[in-house]
Amino acid sequence: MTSRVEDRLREALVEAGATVDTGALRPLREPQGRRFRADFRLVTAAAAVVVLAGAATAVWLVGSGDENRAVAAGPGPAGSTEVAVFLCTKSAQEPKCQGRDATREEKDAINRTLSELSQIKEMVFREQGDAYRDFRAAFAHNKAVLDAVKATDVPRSFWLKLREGADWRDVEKALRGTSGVLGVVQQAPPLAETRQSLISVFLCGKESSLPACGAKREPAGKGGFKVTKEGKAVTLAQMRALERTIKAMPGVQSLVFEDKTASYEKFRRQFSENKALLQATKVEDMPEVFRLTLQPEADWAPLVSKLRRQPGVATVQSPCLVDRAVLMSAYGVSLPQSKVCPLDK
Amino acid sequence: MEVELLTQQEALARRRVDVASIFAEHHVGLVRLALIMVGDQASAEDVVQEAFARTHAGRGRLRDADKALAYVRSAVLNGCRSVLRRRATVFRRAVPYEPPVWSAESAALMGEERREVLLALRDLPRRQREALTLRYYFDLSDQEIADTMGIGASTVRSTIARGLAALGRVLGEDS
Repeated sequence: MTSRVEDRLREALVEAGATVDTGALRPLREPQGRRFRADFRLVTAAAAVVVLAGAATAVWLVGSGDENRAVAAGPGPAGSTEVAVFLCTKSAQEPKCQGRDATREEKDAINRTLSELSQIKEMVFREQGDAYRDFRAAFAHNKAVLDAVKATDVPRSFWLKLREGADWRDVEKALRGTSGVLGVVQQAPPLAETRQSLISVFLCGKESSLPACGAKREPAGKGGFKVTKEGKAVTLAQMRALERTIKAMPGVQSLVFEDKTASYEKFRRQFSENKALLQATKVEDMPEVFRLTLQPEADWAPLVSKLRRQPGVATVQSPCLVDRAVLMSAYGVSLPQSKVCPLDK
Repeated sequence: MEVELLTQQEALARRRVDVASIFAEHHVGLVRLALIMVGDQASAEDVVQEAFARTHAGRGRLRDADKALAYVRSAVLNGCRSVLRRRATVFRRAVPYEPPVWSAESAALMGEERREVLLALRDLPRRQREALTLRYYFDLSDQEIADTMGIGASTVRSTIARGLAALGRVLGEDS
């Protein structure tokens, strides 16, 4: 038995579907250089905002509780957009690099392409030796990373400062398909501030898709999943219990709670340059966070793993994640989490 | 022992389906689904391309052949949701405006009656809109819709019933 509504709906849908011009359909393109870009998306995400697989939980890296103390990443003042173009290395796990270093010709071609871009105000080339030296200095605290990265693993790079209002994606577009390019990364100003002692505990938001928040997922494809049941937001009782747990932990120096509004305020100040991002993000999208600092020598690994197991906790950002993000965005070296943070697992 | 393991793996591998081939095979259908959701062909194609790129390569194999199409459709639906969310916020005025196929200024000419239905459909809650489209455009079963949307089959039934009732009210039809 079909009703009139059903018939009308069917007809309307058929007609709407039929408006697809199959002749003008662009063919599906296979993604290229997926790995590197995906990895860097993670970095940009870490530096900016990542909405966790549909959940209304935003995660971002911050230097410290007080962003005024944050120091800009690499050279260049905060505020002007800075972009790094990394060249292929032999060891880069990136198919388009074909397991070899970028050649002199490739480097020159990239140089020419960049020189023609009107968006670029300043350009500096960073040699491998210099990059490696900077890297050693920046990661002096992380022996695992120092051990894992050889001088030849650190790519050479062009560092660009863009003109006011220029879009870094134009640079990325101009270089798309150019051989010898490992990746193009926009630098996020507050990222470099590596606070070894800062841990952020993100609490479950409404409709979270994270198993930690009670969401149920079904695997769909390798590494993929679909959410069969949405998770629950953290309860007041859970928050109080969590606060007590944290205060009782050894080595905790300070604890700050940020509600959605506070998170948003901070986010707004940090990304005041990025209008699109700000407009797309609402106060409700912000997570509630406990931020704690540890005494300098405190062993954070057991604390992090304990915090991860507490009810109402969506995810815990260990100091290590910052390392991984900096390693990728400022030095172009992509290492698995297990290499950067052997303690973290 | 090892031999046994290998055979088992092989059997599994055989049952796996290549997602890329599903996309290729159902490309037009997926674009149509996306178009009904987002309203214009350009965005619809982008959604399908993006879903393809995400699921492609490396993770392009699904274990369960029967669920593969549902999975692909659900990836496309997810993409449509993000487009609609984005539109609702940032890009409302910023992107070049592509008139939706159900608008009066659309180049794709549609009958006034059909347009009225699509406008009413667009105003329904997201779940109802998706469930109704999957049922009345793709003729999917309750279970297939459930798999695609990641909800239960009984929820699908009640969602469709509510959606139809709401449409009937708006269109002034008694079902």
